[in-house]
Amino acid sequence: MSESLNEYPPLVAKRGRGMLRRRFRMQSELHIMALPVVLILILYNYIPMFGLVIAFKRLQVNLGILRSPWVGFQNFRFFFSSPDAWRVTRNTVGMNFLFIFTTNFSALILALAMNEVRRRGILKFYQTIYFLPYFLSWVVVGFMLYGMLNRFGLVNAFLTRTFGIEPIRFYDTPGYWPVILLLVRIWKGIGYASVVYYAGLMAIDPGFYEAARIDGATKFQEITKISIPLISPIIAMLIILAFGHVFRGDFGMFWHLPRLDRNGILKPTVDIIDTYVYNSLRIIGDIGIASAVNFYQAFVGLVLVLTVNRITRGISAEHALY
Amino acid sequence: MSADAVTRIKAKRTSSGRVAGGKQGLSRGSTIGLHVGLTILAILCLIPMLVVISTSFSSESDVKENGYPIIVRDFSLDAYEQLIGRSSRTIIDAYVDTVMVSGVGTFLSLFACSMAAYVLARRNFFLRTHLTFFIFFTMLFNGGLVPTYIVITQIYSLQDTFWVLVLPLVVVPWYILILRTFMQGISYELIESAKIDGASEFRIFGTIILPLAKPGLACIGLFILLRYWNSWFEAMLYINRSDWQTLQLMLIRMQQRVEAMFDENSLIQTNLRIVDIPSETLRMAMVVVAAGPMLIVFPFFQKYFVRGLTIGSVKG
Amino acid sequence: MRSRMVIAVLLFAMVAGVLSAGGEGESGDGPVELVHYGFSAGDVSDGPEVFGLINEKLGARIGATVDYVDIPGPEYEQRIQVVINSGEAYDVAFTSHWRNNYHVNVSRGAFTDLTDLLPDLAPTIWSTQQGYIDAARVGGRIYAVLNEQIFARSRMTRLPYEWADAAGIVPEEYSDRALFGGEDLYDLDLEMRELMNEVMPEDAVFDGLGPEVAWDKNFIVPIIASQVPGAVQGDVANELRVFNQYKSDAFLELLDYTELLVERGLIRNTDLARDPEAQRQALAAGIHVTPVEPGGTFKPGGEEQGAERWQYLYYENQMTPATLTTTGIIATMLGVSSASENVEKSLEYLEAVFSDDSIYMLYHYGIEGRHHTVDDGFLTVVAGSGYNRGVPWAMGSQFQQIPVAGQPADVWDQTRELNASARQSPALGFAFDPANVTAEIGQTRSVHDEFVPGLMDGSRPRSDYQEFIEKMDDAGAERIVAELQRQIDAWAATR
Repeated sequence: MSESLNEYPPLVAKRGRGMLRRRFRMQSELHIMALPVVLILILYNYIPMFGLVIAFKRLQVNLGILRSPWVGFQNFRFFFSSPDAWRVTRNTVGMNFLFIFTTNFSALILALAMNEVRRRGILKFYQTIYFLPYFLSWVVVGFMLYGMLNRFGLVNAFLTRTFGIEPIRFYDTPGYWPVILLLVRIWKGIGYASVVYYAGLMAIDPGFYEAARIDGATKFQEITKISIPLISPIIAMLIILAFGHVFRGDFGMFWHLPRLDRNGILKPTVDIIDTYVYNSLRIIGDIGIASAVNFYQAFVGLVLVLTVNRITRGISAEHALY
Repeated sequence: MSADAVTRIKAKRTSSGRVAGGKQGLSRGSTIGLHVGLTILAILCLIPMLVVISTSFSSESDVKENGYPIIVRDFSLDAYEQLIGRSSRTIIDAYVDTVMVSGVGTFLSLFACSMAAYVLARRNFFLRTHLTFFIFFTMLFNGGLVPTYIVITQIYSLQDTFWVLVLPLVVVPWYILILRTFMQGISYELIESAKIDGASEFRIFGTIILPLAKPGLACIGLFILLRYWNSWFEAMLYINRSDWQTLQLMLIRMQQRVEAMFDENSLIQTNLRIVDIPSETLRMAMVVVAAGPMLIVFPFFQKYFVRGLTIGSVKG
Repeated sequence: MRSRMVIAVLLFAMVAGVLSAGGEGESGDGPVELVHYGFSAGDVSDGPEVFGLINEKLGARIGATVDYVDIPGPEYEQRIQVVINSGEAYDVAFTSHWRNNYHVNVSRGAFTDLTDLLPDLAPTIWSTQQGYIDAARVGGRIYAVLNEQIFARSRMTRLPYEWADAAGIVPEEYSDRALFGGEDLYDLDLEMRELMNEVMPEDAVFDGLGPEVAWDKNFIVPIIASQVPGAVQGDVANELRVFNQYKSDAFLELLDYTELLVERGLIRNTDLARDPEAQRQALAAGIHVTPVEPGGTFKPGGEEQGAERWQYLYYENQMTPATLTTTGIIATMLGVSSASENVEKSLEYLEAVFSDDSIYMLYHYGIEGRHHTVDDGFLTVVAGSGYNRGVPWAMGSQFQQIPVAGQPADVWDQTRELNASARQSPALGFAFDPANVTAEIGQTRSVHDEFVPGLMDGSRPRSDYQEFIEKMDDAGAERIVAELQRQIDAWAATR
């Protein structure tokens, strides 16, 4: 690790204004390299950001966004005064935390496992297959899940035949759904997520393993002392970034799997902020309210990431976002 | 990692700079256990896809009566006929458009993002933290759909063009940050020695960083490609009067049109009986048609997931 | 340093935003081209050709052409909302209470006030829509024209013919007994269910009733939407008293009745038809039973159309008196954008469509002889020919349509008759401004969706009702009712 980009001393002294111009010129190539991304972000992300004010306005179309009247925090009232605000926030955040840790953990295990496969042919085969669920849209998965979980579906057929119990009405019982959603989520995303970790494992200099072998390390030590520590920057990055989206749910999954527009019984456990807002605004589609909720989700996400990042920085600077 | 272990690695390097050996193998029992586990997972992932494929080649009435088949029971090409049949020109057009968008987009995006990732990875870049925040901020905060629409249609006038399907997707902060993490693992000594030799940043980027970051680039390159291939939102929103469309959008619209036939408010006349209209089977055929090419492309990316490339240019 | 950069960038963004605030105005020479955002549900691939013909006629008649932007139906809501909110200068768009909500748009200033222009520029529309167009008034002004069709809504029975015949049910009799015999609707429903139950298989779907049945039975008219608290009742002493319809005796009666049906197995297998696809399947298989159908509405000629679609005949007979409500009338309309630069021309365009039947037919059914044929005064669509818009109610007056083969020849007369003879909601013509209770409306709707479907199909026990009402109140039900009352009183005072 001592040989990485992380510890090289700065190129020039940090003080003085003459230094500023020198630094600019010396690193001008880097500036140019960063330019495409910066330009596109300005054009497509930063310029439209004037729209953030919609959250605080009542949009009058004939006046345009900037001349429409201000209404302070009134748009936020919708969400915060709602009796369900706490429940959907809890669902969103709770499920996301669950997802973050279980999907990353399982993807990591899978990547480590694939790392042990000797023959490349078999490995490629496995890897391709694990990726298949990614290609199924939530709509399709929703239908297949229904085929399995409905009153006459596979699961109930199995249960009644083996245990002789009454069929379970999954779609009428909220309690089962956190587990169902978790399992489906892992199944669908594990192939995709494991690719990142696998790529990270590939980037590890084999020399380290060599040295470990010489030192007489066990397989377990090899994994815990080399593989994992060396991809820990990636693990850390993925988790820190995931915190930014902890208040945003995957709308497609939460909408199509429990078939939320059909029967409201499952709402207590599967209604998240995004589906709740979508549903509520279906009659009175109010862009100000939608914008306010969005702002809230983004703001909390930002605070969380900065906090987690600061903590990470305290532990190990090179693993942090910045 | 003990310092003398590192020394021992260096000592072990052959004169050509390649490192011999690698990880140690697993015991026989562990290997069996490993493969059993991997196989079980593979089955769990494979079966649903088989169901999708089989359903797509089944007749609609069979699916309605007997549920989803794992192996085809009542073979029928109805769903594919519906997809390709009358609108054969449209699906080929959609394919062509999507290939163009994905090709150009992936190239531009990977190029831009990897360059930015390299810049971010350089710890001594004095605008590093600012740039990181600048990029990362957009992951969370977005002006919103309407302001973006205003900017794209009224200022840039990009509606109905090819570029509206490409440009908004070029920068993905998440990918940049992952690539940065990959690149941070590359030894700075290499860069330093190249700089001493008088190489420009571009040269360093092209000849040192890119080859060494291959697994990361392949991974992100794949993600970028998938993103473009599956994109549909920009095409839906910004294409009104021209012919540009993406495959996914065309498929979604096809599905909606079929569903509209069931809608009581509409009065579509059709020769098919309602039960026979491919709907379930059509949905599955859509998945096959959209995912197929990607699965074929997959191994191409896997080629780059190779273990620890040489860094033997550093001696001693 | 970092914060300074962020601020600098945001400032730059703001400035750019200000500069963009004024949209681009297209000023061109030559004939006016009107932009019409519309939708379709069927095949419109021959659109360019068809519109070429339409524009010939329009050019000759009003000196303008239409640039019709065809958006797939399911995408319409989202896309038109973006277009409107971005201040884009289009001309004509579809609006209603369920797609591109009319009242919300008006309160946002999205449509032009047409009141003074209609009599001169659109005389046909103005005269034929008299009496009904008041339903589109907001603050006394009119912001859209109606697409005429069946306005009056009523509940109907829908029974599979095979089983109904086997059970010895003659639906017309029940319809007569319900409408003229003065018998209780639920008694009749029960009778029908029991008879059907004797002949139908175990896996048949006996659907539950819905709140709409209770409303129609008791002449209760929800003002905002069925799912949102706030309704008035007709034929009572104080017709403009607003109340929460879910607390009414009518709803309780329905709950009791539902409980009874569930006990006797006369509501069953609803979980198999909760999914629209499965429901269609059940309909096509002829095993879907709804003695009184909560959704849909009775319309003359509907039975024949259903038979065409499902390839299975369902008897459809009117079971409740027809009611004219605001939402029933504004179910399909066309508005002119407030950002439009061709308001007068747009109205002339609408007038052209409404008064020239050939334009209407081109628009919806394409070219005669190629996309559709007319035999003996009846319309037959040529399937797969490349043009069949599929939404004849979305533009123009449906009374302009040549009756489809299978419908009675006087179907439109029957429809007009139904419209004219329907009883009128006490709140007809009242337009609600939701600004003060937007949050509550969304939240109560959410509560409704969580409880009511379950209560209506037996998957929730009757005892959940208490929880439902409490939650509704927590979500602000009474606040909505109070706000509605306040506005209705003000409106009544001005009449």
